[in-house]
Amino acid sequence: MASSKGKFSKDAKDAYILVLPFFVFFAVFILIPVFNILRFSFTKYDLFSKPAFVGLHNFKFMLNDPVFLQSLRNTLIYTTFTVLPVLFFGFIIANLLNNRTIGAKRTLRVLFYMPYVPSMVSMAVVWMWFYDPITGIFNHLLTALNLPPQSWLSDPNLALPSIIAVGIWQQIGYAMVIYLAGLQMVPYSMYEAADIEGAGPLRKMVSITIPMVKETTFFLVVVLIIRSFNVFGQVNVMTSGGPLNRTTTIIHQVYLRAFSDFRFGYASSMSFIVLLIVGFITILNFKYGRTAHEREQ
Amino acid sequence: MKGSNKKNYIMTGVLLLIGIVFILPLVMMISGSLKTIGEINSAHFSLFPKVPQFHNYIDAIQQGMWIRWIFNSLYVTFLATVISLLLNLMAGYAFARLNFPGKGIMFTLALTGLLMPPQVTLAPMYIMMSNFPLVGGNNLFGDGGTGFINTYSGLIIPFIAGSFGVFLARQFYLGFPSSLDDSSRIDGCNRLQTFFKIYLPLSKPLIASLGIIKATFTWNQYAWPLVITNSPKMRTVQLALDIFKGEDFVEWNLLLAATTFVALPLLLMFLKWQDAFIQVNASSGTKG
Repeated sequence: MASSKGKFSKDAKDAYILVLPFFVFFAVFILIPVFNILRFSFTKYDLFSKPAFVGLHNFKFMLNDPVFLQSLRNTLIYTTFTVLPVLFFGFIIANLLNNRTIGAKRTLRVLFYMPYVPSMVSMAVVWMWFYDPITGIFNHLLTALNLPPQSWLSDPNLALPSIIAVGIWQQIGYAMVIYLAGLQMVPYSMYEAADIEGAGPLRKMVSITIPMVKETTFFLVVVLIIRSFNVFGQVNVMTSGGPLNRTTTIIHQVYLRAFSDFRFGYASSMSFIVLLIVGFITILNFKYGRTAHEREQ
Repeated sequence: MKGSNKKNYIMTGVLLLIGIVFILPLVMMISGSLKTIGEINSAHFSLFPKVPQFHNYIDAIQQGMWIRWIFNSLYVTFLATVISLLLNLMAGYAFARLNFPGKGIMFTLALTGLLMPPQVTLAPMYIMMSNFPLVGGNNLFGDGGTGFINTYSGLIIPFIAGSFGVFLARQFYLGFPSSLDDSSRIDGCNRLQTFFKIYLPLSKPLIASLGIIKATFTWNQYAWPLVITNSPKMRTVQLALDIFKGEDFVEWNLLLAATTFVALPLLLMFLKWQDAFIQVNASSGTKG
């Protein structure tokens, strides 16, 4: 690119003027906090006195902290039962919308994507109304069907599934849009060839569509798992982690330990666990994403 | 081929019906916001109010400090979006078109930021922002004052550095012909002038779509504003909803009016610019 040595350094100076404003903000407000998670994980830190090094104490404590273990369990349940349905329904709807015999595609795409647009807090509030034991639509429906009404968000067995339902509903449209983009990459001629060989719709789905959108699926799995591991807002808004800690999640525990108990060291060590999981999934993503990309070329 | 393009009206109809059921929660949010408290509490559920109670919106806004909260959210969203867009576009251009020592390592580091969810750094970010040197009464070592707590800067700064916009901008500028740079060089422009005079004016589609996504993302924030503000005056609309909901006696019609107030602008923007919303989100992992 550079025509001469002198030109290059002049360009480099301009390049730094363009890049550094972004990069300084990125380094200070993203990289340093990530590094500090690691640093504070090994300390006792209440904000009022200097952080005191305690070695692995926080991590040992965590293994015997029933509330943390419960939050880990809840987070895993939330993740599994959010990611799988979102993937499944997103894939099915995207395939239906990709079908040439279906009309009104723009309208359909808008309808399914719409729940993803407003904030999680506002949708959580609306669903709290649906779950309201007296005025909520779900108990109206149960009563109409002569079934006993439920106290959705305060029943230990129903609270987490009730929160999961909101997460699924909000994210199906997102998965659908990503799958629609992925399906554009599948050449129509492959389906025509399969038609000639007499393959049915199910056979085409299993032998052509699913393998062809494998990368899209992988991307979605990564993104959805990372998001689910960081679920916090709907929990704090809808149940505050209750009843009996049955809906508290790891990030919700981070929030409580740091901002109610001022145990910033312990909170950081919990964030560190989330960071490890996110890091592991990110590495998988780069590894598989890249090899898949190279294979294409 | 012609035969296979014939529309399947039954299947289309079924899908439309499912789609409408899918957005029923949004419809019910709006219709519930227009009901009387009597209709909300009635044992007989009806989808629509008998007479729309538009004054619910005025009643809801008059509780608390909604004017202030809406202003706070608009102000924070506007500044975070504009500053972040400018920095993202500048860096995106440099990564796409210029060579400079350290480019590779900076790019790789920015890449790791792509999948980093903001919630994970909640605690260390708070520590840094409250102990920021020479801000909010703090001394050089970050002690003595309150730092960025309860300030607009505290609400804005963490949302400026997003690396997703840099990747989108880089991708966008890679699609420009490099003859654009050569001719500007012949005209005697340096790289800064090339970016600000040639590339930036050609970036309108990118600014529009990335701007919409950033604005939505900032408007919808919950976790960070929750920890960095505690004064009622500095709350944003999402926090206000949470507080409003926490009152002992919930008047659902007013709460739904406030919720609609917070959600409807985004839904209308989405209906108007649906392609920008969907395309940019299709290329991003994190929401925003």
